[in-house]
Amino acid sequence: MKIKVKINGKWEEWEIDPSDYLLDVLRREGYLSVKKACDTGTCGACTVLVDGFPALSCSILAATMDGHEITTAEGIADEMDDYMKALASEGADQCGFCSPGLMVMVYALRKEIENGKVKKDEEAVKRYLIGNLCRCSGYLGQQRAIFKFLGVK
Amino acid sequence: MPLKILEYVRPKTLEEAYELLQKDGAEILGGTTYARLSNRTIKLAIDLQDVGISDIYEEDDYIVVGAMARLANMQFHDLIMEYANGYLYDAISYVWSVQLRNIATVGGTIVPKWGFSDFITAVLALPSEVEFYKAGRMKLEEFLENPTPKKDIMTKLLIKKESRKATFKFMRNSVYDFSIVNVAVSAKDENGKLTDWRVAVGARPGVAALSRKAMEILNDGYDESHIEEATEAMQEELNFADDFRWSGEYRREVAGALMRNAISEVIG
Ligand SMILES: Cc1cc2nc3c(=O)[nH]c(=O)nc-3n(C[C@H](O)[C@H](O)[C@H](O)COP(=O)(O)OP(=O)(O)OC[C@H]3O[C@@H](n4cnc5c(N)ncnc54)[C@H](O)[C@@H]3O)c2cc1C
Ligand code: FES
Ligand code: FES
Repeated sequence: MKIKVKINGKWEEWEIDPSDYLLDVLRREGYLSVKKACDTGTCGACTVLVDGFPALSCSILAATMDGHEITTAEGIADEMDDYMKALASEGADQCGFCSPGLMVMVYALRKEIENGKVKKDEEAVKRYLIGNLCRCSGYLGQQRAIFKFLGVK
Repeated sequence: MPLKILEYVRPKTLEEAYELLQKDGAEILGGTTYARLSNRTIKLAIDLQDVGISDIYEEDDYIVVGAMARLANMQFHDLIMEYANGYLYDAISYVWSVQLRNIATVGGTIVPKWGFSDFITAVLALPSEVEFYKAGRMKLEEFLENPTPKKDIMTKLLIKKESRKATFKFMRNSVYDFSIVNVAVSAKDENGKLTDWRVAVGARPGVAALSRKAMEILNDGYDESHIEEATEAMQEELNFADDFRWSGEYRREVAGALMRNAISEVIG
């Protein structure tokens, strides 16, 4: 079957199988920032924005995305340049596998803070990011970078 | 073998969706988050996103939540954030992650009656109903206690709008994990007098159930001795069992402690 999606601002038509999950289709179409790790909805490495909201691409049937808008880390990289610099300066990346999914979440979190839906404090930020696991870093470098980027005191 | 789907359809009306569902091997898709973890073949997957059951609104004395509303839509809706001092907003925030709550639907969370569900326990502690396309409207507890309507579509969750005080408690090995037992308590606030108590206990590990005996005792009074009596009644009335994580005996004890704390919080 065919689906049409707006991916990183541009409409594309993809040939998919009804059993395909969005994560596999995105990677097949070249959006390699989207990582396949647990593939069960637990780690957040596959996070993308669907119609502006962060969602797990490993847990969404691709067919259900026909007519929807998807944004991957590739689509927000320019806007998130300061964030990436903050990560680098805090030495927060190790293997980097979790970084694109986390970047998409931090992007969404910044919007939620601006909209007044999430408080700009340590507790609320940590709770928002609970679904992004990192097997290497121990989280503290990332936490410093994220707090710096969002201006959390 | 992961989930296999032979054909996918997106009907425009509930009537059409219901007709399609009667076909052999047809199944409803919610957010597909849990369905994906099973190894089976769905001959005809019916996606309800276009049938008009995603909205959240007020009708008569109820907050109506469409079965295709995402848990996150519900959590952040003004009606929900205002209800019982943000009780459901808070309880829903413990359902896994933001990214999962943006996909998982209210229907896909209620219909399977999973024992581990935090959401069902939290909603069951409120006077609430579910509506199915054919089977019609029923109390949530009736739905949970009886066989699920076959080949039917859940269309709505309805939560009675009234002044309530409510609390949700759970025990987990870590906060990003499934609850090993969970308890939700609510009472109607009639100018400071607490009436119509509801006590729901889930992840026992069976699906959430009301302790009617405990509710009856609390409706009689909620001083220390009534609280103790109600807690013991709950521990006796409900079934607690072992699973690979915890023993039923330990669950029963923890449920009692959570219930006492929850009642104290509701009383304030
Ligand atoms: C990794 C993971 C962690 C989770 N953690 C938690 C947690 O901590 N706490 C918690 O409470 N829950 C948790 N859940 C459960 C979650 O909240 C959802 O209940 C679940 O993911 C299903 O939602 P869904 O909309 O994706 O349903 P689906 O997977 O799409 O559907 C589930 C079932 O419901 C049926 N169905 C769906 N909608 C309807 C309808 N309208 N009418 C009739 N039948 C219908 C489907 O046919 C299917 O059989 C977790 C789930 C996952 C995958
Ligand atoms: S790959 Fe999707 S949550 Fe881990
Ligand atoms: S840096 Fe390796 S998983 Fe996070």
